[in-house]
Amino acid sequence: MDSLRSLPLRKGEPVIKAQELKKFFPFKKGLFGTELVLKAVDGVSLEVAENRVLGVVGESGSGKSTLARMVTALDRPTSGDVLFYGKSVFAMDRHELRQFRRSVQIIFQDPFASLNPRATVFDTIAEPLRIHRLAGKNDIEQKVAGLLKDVGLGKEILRRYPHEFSGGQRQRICIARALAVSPRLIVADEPLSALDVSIQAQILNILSGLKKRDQLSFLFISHDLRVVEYLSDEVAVMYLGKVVERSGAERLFEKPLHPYTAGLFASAPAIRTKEMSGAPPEKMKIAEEIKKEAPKGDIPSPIDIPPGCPFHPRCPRRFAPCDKILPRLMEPAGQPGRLVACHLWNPY
Amino acid sequence: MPDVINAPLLEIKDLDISFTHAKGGVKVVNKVAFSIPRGAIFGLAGESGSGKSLTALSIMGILPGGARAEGSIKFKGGEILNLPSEKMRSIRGKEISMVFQEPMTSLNPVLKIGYQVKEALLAHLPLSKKEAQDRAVRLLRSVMIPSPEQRINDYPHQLSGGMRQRVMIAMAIACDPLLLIADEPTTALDVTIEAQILDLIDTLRAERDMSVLLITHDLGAIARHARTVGVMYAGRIVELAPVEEIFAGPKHPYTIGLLESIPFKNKRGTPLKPIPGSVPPPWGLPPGCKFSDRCSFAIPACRQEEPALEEITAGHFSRCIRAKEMRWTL
Repeated sequence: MDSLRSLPLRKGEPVIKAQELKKFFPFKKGLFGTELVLKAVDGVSLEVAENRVLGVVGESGSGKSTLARMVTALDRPTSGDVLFYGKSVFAMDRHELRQFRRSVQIIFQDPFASLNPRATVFDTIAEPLRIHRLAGKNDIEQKVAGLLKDVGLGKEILRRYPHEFSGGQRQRICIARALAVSPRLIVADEPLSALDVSIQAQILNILSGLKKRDQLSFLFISHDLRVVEYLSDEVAVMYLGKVVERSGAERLFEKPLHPYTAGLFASAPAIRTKEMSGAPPEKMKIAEEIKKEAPKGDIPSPIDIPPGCPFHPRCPRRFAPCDKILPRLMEPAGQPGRLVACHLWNPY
Repeated sequence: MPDVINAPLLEIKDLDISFTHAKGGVKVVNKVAFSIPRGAIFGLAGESGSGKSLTALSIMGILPGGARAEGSIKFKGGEILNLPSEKMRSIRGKEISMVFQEPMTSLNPVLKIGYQVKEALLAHLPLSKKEAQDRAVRLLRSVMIPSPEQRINDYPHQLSGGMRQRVMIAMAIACDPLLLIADEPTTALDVTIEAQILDLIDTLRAERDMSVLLITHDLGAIARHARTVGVMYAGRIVELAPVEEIFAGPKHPYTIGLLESIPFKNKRGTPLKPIPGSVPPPWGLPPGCKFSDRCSFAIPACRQEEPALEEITAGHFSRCIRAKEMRWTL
C-alpha cells in the first residue's frame, strides 16, 4: 500500500463507494430542439470492499459502462459521489487525484482499440511506470518483464507491436499495463466479451489469481452470468440505469429475487445434460418454464424509461402498483443482507 | 432417385476449402462431412478461425474471392457445390437462405424494411405488388414484430438490434426455405433478446419443418436447441454426436477443453483448466493431430499421423486416437 501513504485514508472503509450516482445526458431532438434527457445511470449506490469482487450484470443500455466511467473519475456524475477509502474523488486535489488514478485502473472490452498501435509492448507497459516514477532507467526493463510474466507472457515480445498479437494476448498486455502501478482496484468493463471461450478461461484465471496474490479488488462488469458467478463475491444487477437487485453471489444465483434477474438466468442458455437426457416431455417442460420466465419484448430506450418500475412492461409477474410506483431498493423480509427493488418483495 | 424421403436434406462429404495466393495454397477447411435431416437443427460449434463460417458460405455458394471448394455438397440429393451461378441463384434465398451475425450491417440503411422484405419475395416469386405487401406484413407478424402494418414503413435505424435480426429472419424465410443457415445469429444481441431469437428460429423450424444449420461458439445455445452437434477445430470436424451424448460424455480433448473453459457452478473459486495457447494459423498447424500441440492427452503417436473421424459409440464420432479413454462428465 506504499502508493497510498500520502492519502488520509480511513481503515476499514470500502475501496470504492458510489453514493446515489446519477448521470443524465440532456440533448435536443429535431430541428426545433425538444429537450430530452437520457438517464444513463439513475441513482446507483454500491461499494467494493478490500479484496472483494463486485460483479455488475446488465444488458445494453443498463448503464454499466457509464457507471464504470464515473467510478474511475473519467466522467463527472450529474449528482452523487464516489468515495475512495472514504474520500470524495471529486473533491480531491491534484496530488490526491494522481494517487487515485494510480490506485484505480480500468480494463476495457476491446483489446484492439485500447492499445497504441505505434507503441511497442515495452513502451506501453513502461509508460505508467515512468509517469508515476516507479522504476528507474536500470530496473525498468526488468520490471516490465516481471509484469509480463504475471500475465503469462514472455519477455521476447518486448519489442513487438500490438498488431502482432491475438485478442487474448492483447488483453494480457492491457492487464499488465494496469498492474504496472500496483493498483488497489481494477474496473474491468466486459474484459472477456471480445475473446474466444478457451481464451476467456485463461484471462479469468489470471484475474482470479491476481485477486488472491495481490489482494486486489475488482468491479467486474459483464453480461456473461456464468463468468460473473464464477468470479464475484457480490453481484449488482442493473436495468435501465438502476440497480434492481444486489446480493451475495452465491445466494443470488441460488435464488434470484427480482423477476428481471430470474429472467436473465432463464434466458442464458445453460448446458444441462441431466434434464436433457430424461424423457422428451421433461425437456418440453423445461423449455416451457424458460419461456414463462424469460422477459418478453425489447429493452426500452433509456430516453423513454417506463413509469413505475422500469421493468414492468416486460415483467411476467407485474401487478397493480408496478406501472405507477417506483419500487425502492430495500432489504426484503426474511432475506437479510439482500437488496431488491420489487413490489413483490417489499411493501409499497 | 434413391430413397428421397429418408435421405438427409443436406449432405456434405469431403469438403475442402483452400485459399490460393502467390506462394501457393493454404487449406482452411479439411474433409468436412456431416448431414442434416429434414426439420432438424444441426449445431456447428468452434472458435474463431475454425472454418465454421466458410463451410456455411460454401453451402450458399458465396465463398469470398480466392477461395476454392472441393468435395461434395448434396441438397435434396442433387450436387450444389460449384454449381453455375445462375442455377445457384435460383436456390439461394429460395430453398437455402442465411441469417448473418450483424443485423446492423446486413440491412440497407436507406430503404424501408418493408421494401427489403418485399425484395426478398419478388426475387423468387411471381407476386403482384399488393400480394407482396400482404405477404411482407404476414412475414413480419410470423417473426413476432409487433404492429407489422406500421413497422413495415420503418427504416432499419428505427429498430432495435433484436428487431432488426427478426427482419433478417423474415427475409430469410420469405420463400419458405428448406434450409436456414444461421451464422452466429445472436452474438451481437443481449442475453434476453438472444433467447427470444433462438426460440423464434426453433419455433419457425417446427412450424415449417425447416432444417437449420446453427453456427455458434455458444455451447449453451447448442445444448438447448440443436439435435446433433459438430465441433470444429482448425478446419476439421473433431467431434460429431447427438447433443445429449456430447454434453454427457465428450470424446475429444478439444470439446472437453471448451467445456472446461466455461465456469460451472461447482467450479467456484477453483481455477479453470483452459486449453493452453491459442489456435495456430492454418499454415502453422502441427503434423499429425492438429490439436496435439495444445492437448493434455497427447502422446507421441498423435504427432505421427492425423487420426480419422471414427465412430466411438453409435452416432458418436471423434477424431482422436485416445477417444475411448475420455471419461469427462459435467
